Amino acid sequence: MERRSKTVNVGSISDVTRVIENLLTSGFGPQGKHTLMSTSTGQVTVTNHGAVILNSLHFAHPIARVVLDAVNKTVSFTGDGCKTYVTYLNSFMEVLKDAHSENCMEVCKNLELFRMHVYPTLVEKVVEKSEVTNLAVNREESEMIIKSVFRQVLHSQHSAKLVDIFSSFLFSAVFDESANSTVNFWERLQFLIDNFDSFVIKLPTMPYRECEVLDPIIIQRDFTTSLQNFDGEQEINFVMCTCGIEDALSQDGFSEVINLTSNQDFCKFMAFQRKKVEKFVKNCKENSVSLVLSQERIPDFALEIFNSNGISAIHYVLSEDITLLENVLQKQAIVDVHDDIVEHNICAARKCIVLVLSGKKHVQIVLHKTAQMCPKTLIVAAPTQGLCDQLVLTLKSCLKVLSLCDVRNFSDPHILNAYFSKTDTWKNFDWSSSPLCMTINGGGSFEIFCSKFLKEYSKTIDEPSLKNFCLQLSTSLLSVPRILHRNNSVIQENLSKDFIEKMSMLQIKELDGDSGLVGIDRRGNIKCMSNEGISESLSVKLYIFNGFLELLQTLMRIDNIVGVSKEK
Amino acid sequence: MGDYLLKGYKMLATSCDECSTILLEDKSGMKYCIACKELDTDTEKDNPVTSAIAARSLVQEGSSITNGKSAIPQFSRLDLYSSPSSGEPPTVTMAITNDHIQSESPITSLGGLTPELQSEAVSTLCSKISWACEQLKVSTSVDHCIGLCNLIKASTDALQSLKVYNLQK
Repeated sequence: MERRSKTVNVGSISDVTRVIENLLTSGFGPQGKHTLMSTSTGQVTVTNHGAVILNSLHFAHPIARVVLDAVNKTVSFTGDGCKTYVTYLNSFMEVLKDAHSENCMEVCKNLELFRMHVYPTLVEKVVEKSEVTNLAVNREESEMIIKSVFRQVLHSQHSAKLVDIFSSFLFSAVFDESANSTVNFWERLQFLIDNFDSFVIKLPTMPYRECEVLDPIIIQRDFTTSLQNFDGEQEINFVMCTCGIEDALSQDGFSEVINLTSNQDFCKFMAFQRKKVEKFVKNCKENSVSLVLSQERIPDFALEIFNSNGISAIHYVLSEDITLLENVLQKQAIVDVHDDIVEHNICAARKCIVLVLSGKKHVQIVLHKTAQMCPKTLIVAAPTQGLCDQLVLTLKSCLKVLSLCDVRNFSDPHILNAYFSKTDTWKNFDWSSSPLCMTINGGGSFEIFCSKFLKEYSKTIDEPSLKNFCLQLSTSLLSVPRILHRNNSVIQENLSKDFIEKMSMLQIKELDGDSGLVGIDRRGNIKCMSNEGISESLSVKLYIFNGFLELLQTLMRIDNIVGVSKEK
Repeated sequence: MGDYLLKGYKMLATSCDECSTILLEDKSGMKYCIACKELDTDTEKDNPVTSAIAARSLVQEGSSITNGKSAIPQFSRLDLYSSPSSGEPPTVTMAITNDHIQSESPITSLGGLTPELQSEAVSTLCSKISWACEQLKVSTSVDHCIGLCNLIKASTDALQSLKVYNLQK
């Protein structure tokens, strides 16, 4: 075997991170540009999502692959933040390179010291600047904070008008006033995220404004047969079958082979089959079941029997829909039609109506409000299939980010306890059982605040290498507001000078005060972000920051890249 | 490099032997170094050693920054290669004209240089360097100093090229 090795140093890592960052920075912020990518087969994707862009490219470089894997793992948890993550990493590598710091082990050592001594203090200060909202108290306040979290994810992907449409659309999907208790808000949200694909119906070739929220559950099939007097606006009982109506065995199982040699035998066989179905139908009637959802095909003779007995049927129902109904209603599907129908097989629904979506008929089974865990169904419309897929991805990201705003998801409960016990509003408040939402202002305000804090804090550090590390981190964090400023500024001349002037003014004027954090608005100006309506999940921000520190440590520990290839 | 990645190129784990830039590979398997193929060929025209236009503009920039009172005389193309002291006739120390300056290595552009011309070039460059050093000692303008340093650097590079040419011969 032939063995080749290449030394890894700060410069080589920085080369890779710079390339990756350059791919993504043009799409950063509300005025960010989209990237159009096309495969060799002609499939086109227009996207701003960092992870989608990076995963579409070809990286054989091991450092790039390590970074890409780390980004994917982070984004799969947080839903968003790929560009921020990459920006943190590259800007810190650039600062190290400019300082000619080649001692990677020293950086690792400083990282450990930073995480032990400086990071907890930083988190405490950031938590003090965060906003905590009780979603159970005031609908308007809840709406404002939830929509501001959605806006932060959506604003880099769509125009302001569409962002408003989508944030209202998502808010109506997640916030159900008629639910008995908003304590279940986070559980319902998590259920929606876990089963997101089951609660989304895509409508490509429709305009964005056709997006709407409907009561669950929507079966993407039409009635195979329907009641003559069935108007859909009445309470119904229904059962679900995972087996065939005429036979207990599914298509995958072994079937009995019957040789029918004469017409008489055939008639006897069919009569026997008919009897089985009639027995099942009688069972349904005794239990007032008026609708049967079958995963398998219902043969014509069975449909005729259903019809004549006043029972509706839908066949070829997706197994995912049946599983979802089982989970939501806590009922069991019938696996053998020969068995008696019992109470835990019978499901109740408020009404059952036919919907036409994009020219295709669907059946909407509206469940009772007692089905607390059942979130709404999202009808997602977009002009093309590709845009529809991207919109679904973005909406899922929004929901993930919102779910991480749950105070219980915060990484350090001790810091939270300390914060709540100090604040008058939350003293003696049981934060672990209330729907509290923790957010921080957007627009790069987190980075500006942390940079300022680290700069001030470094003056109190005696150890020179740790002090230097904090200053380097402080400088690198400013890359996020710098990129935002560059992308958002109306005037594109003298950007660096303009940014430096604004940051200097910020230090002189102390704009942040008590009203909130300062960040970069849509026009590239420095403003107090409390009134801008852009909020980020604090947990997501800290998770990304932590992830960056861990990846940095991993990269600093790499000495060599060893390539092994077989001799020809 | 990002643009090439977006076009479908692949970022390899290997680097260029000459400039250590990360190599890219296109769909047909051809390896490509953007620094050697694109950036370096573009910078030759700015190299004052190989480009007389670049050398002239370098000196003119230095003199225009010092508010019209140039401590160094305005060099013409021929003056750059001659002694700065007045009264002496300018001597062409290098058989290089604008027509012959191309974006290739200075060694190839010195083809046909006789030993006499070579020694004259070396002595002129050395005198230029010593003059620039003297000027640097007394100069108080930052931009003027930068111009002088660039001149020293360019002259040193030219000397190095002559040395390499001599060794090759």
